[in-house]
Amino acid sequence: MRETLNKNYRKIFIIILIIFLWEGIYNLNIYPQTLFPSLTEIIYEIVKGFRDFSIILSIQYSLTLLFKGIVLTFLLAFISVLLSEVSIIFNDFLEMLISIAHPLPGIAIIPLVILWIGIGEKAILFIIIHAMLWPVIINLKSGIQSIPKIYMDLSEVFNFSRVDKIKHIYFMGILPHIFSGLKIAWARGWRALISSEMVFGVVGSSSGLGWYIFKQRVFMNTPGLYGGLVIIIILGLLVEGILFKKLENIYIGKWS
Amino acid sequence: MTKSNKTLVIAVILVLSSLMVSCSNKDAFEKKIVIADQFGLGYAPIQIMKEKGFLEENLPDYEIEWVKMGNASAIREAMITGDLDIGFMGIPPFLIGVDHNTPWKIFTGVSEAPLGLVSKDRKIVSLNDIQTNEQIILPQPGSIQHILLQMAGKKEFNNAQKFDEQLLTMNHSDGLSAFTANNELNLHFTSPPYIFNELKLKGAHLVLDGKESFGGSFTFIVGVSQESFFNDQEKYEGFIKSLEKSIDYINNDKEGTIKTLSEIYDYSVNELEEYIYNKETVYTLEIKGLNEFEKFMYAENMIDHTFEVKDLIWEDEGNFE
Repeated sequence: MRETLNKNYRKIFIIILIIFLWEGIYNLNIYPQTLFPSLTEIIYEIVKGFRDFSIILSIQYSLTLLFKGIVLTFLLAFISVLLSEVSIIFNDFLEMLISIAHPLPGIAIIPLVILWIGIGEKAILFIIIHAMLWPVIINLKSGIQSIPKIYMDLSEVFNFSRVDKIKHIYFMGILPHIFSGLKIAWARGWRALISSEMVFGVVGSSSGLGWYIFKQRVFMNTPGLYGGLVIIIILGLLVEGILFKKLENIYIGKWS
Repeated sequence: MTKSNKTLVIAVILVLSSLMVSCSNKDAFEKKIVIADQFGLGYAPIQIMKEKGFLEENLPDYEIEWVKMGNASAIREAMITGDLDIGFMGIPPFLIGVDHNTPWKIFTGVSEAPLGLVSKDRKIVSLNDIQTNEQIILPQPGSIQHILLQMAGKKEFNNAQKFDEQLLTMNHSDGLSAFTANNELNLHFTSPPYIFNELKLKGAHLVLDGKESFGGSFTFIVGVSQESFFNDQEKYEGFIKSLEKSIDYINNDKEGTIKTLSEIYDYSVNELEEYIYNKETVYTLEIKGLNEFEKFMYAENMIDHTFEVKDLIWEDEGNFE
């Protein structure tokens, strides 16, 4: 308990330090103030963005798209991992595919994406799935490999059906890996989403946080740009620090 | 002091010292000129100047650094930090910069060029035929292409923002691939050389000519600098002389120009000849249409202030029309 309290204090201390450092640099005029605004200006822009709903709509759009991406990624990952468990040929194919596709940054394959998928939401979805899928598959596969052999033997002894085996041995065995996969997916998908939104910008009602930041930059609203970055940081902290922790406590806590 | 505290102190010192170093690096070389341009044939005189070494000839004591940048925002930021002496861009992004106190003004015009909205859907002949579900590709909001589209919207429908909800922003080359490859994307507001590529596609035609929406000819690319560059007579005159020489070279040595540019752009000799030597592409130091852009952008809330010519051009005379 004391340990967590101390940790929280340390975190708050670091945030305060960053705030002081920022304001110090701003006031010392080390950087041009048009490119390095004060925190008050940034906060003003964030509040303005919330009041005219532009930030809220952007967050909603980005998170919805990311959620769709994560669901599809896990669906594809589960299917591929299952298939690679039953077929050696598919497993070889999958490994080959991973070693080809995994190192390619999403932004670098944009001309191909435009050619195959087109533009707009579909293209962004493709790029974020590409960013998440390969590490998630690798993660799930290593999860399966780490399931103790004795569990498999037990399932044979008790004559588990295939479905029961998948449900009770595989799924439960790889649950911690699913969570770590989820964390990787969130981090990588989020980055891919923001950067691809900057490339496939759509003006109008349906546009996300990446576009919001890009627009602020084009119209030289630098405090607004930093405001967008602050929102990304806050969302990251909320999802990782609260949502993932809660989920982990609920699902993994009782197994460990 | 505990180990973690020590690490923290060291980290802070490292951050601070790197800040100091990055600040003191600037202005280390007095005799240096850093120039940024972008891709496109509107910048041809700058590319000729670089390839033929005209600026180095006129300013032999200077170190010249050429930077290619992806968009006007990057040029603007580099200009503010003092990393750039000269940048080239369209008039609207320049005005957005002035509006936000970027310490720069125009010191020369570079080119006029045929910009326009291309359609590959035969059914779309005029702006009236564009349905609300149709998307229009253009480089970015606030770009010259966007402002020209808004000007047309204002003229035809008395609504400058008429197409703003239908924009899809992409740089020219991604836009060209998307326009070529995707059946649902039929409209692209672009500039040379991309506009020429697209007009060659089956069924492609011009829906809107930039001049038509502007109501006459206008400067496409301008050269922008900080005051220190303009006040340094040697630098300024050396650059203008080199630019004039480059434009003369383009106008008088067709073969040399095409050969030089074909090394930069992946086009055939015939294509380049057609793209550069047409009656709509003009390379000139003259600055046209600045007032009209400024008035329109102010009226449509794209900029918050009005400006006089002297706020926008380093020299309130000379090449301004």
